[in-house]
Amino acid sequence: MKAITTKNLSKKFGDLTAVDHISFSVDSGEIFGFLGPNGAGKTTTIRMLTGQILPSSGQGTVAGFDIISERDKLKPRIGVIFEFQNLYERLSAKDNLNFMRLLYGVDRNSVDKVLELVGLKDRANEKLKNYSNGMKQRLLIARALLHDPEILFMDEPTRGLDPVIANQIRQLISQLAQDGRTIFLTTHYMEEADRLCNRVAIINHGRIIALDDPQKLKQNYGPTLEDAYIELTGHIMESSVLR
Amino acid sequence: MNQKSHKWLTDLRIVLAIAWKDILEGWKNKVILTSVITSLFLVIFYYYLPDLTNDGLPLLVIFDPNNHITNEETSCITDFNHRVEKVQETFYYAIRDMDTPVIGIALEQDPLQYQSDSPFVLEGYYPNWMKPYQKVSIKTSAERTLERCWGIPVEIAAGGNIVYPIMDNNTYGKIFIATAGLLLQLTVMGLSMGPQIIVEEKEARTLQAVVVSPANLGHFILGKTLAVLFYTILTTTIGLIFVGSLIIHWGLALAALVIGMLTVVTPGILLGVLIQNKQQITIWMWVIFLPTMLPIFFSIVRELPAPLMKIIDWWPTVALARMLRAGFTLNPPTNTYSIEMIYLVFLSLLFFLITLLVIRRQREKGV
Repeated sequence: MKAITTKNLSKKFGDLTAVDHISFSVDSGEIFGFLGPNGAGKTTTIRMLTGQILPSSGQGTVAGFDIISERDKLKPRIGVIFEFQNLYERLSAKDNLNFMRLLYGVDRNSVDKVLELVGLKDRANEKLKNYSNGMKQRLLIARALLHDPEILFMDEPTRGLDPVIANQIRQLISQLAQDGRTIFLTTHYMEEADRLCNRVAIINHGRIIALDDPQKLKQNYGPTLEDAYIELTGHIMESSVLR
Repeated sequence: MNQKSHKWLTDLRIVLAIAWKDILEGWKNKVILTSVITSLFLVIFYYYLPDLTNDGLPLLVIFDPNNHITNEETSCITDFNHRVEKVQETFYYAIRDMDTPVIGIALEQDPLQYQSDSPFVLEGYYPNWMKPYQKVSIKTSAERTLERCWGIPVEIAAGGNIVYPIMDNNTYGKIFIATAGLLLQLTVMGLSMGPQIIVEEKEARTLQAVVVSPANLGHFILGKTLAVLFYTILTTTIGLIFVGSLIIHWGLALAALVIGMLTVVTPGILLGVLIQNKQQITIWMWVIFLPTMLPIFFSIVRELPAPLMKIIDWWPTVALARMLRAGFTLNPPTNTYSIEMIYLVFLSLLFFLITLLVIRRQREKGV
């Protein structure tokens, strides 16, 4: 069963074509990597698929619902982890989650459950200003899981985190996929994509230029996924520059 | 439960959740707390302003329609500022327009012609806001001063007559100060808090987390409106602790305050929807605040040409000030506030509709 489908999906901002006729599908329970350089159209695609913006043309479905006409129906079925830590900093972790719980109409126990899952239960009543980046990232995951969504959109969930915390987050992503959730993941870290994803799509200048499982991409374009990525996009990865 | 009522309950739950979050967060938001404190300061400052600027001497207004009294008979009144009025209307104005303790007396006969051992009895007049102890104090003091001045025993009748404010463009005094304080309080809260709590969510991008949940922009705006109304009601309630004793018609005053809140909160919310960052709030606050408040002062001074005054008299804040005054006035004629009420409700609905249209456009654009 397909969790996500797109057909000729495009988005224009004035004269700029951010996403240009992309077509792909994601199976239920799959971790689908969506890779590309900055400005390639990854976040715009996520924003269209999560009902934040309307496409300029083309079609798409998420959890079986049309992303244009059934936005209200698809929202309770998805969880989104943004590329930025958009939390209410003046509130505690628990209050942040309680607010979302009320929006989704889920019971009080779900807050404790997700806090326990991400290992923040003991510090749930602390204000977020006392939280580290890693803790905030885990809270973002908890928020996305609060209503037990079947599809998770994760926009660079390990960006800027120290290697230990990033590794914990990756383990959590694997665990979530094992529980049967579909994960749509964007990342700049090729090792992360290689380790986690069942399939990977590479997008450049708004177009999908490759879509396959990491093994095949490595076989066709380079010994590592990073080599394949550089070969396909002509871009050096952010992670390589950092190294 | 049918699907329609379930949808309605879901909408209500989402709107209340957004309002609850903002109410909870508002206490921890320095900008909002500053707005609350500023608005409270305005009403308290206005309430105590007359006492702060008082030169110390109370006012004695003498109503002498038959010209009994001469300058010589008043020059000895040194413990009071005093004035003599020949016309009843201006005598009442002199009392009702005061914002510090005042006593009026009506002279039926010439005190220097008075031939009796019994005291020379006068009718006393006080503005409605004076407290009993203030009346007793000023009455005793006036009796003592007039006795010394005229050389006869003087008694100002106990109880006295109460002079109530009336609906008039030229009304000053305590009532003007109370309504101006409340109006400033409403304006500061309504116009500053709405943009603040909406723009904050745009800048922190928490709005994106809200719109990927079952909430949409319509829920978001309604929730924000409720939160701003909560804080406006809270500050107004505290403001009423100070000026509530001046209110004569509570029903009218509360209706005026509710309509007033809607009149200032709805443009504040619209502003929040339209602007994108906090720097723009600062600029827009000045752009809006001056044309909001200045017409009130023009409406009092009444120095501008007549056609301009007609426009100013129907400027929303001027109409709101007039409507607020009705609650502080004895038997205000219906035609002095009812059109204002309808006009301001219409204006609030108009702002709300424009906000909904803007949101709809933003939703269609997918913003």
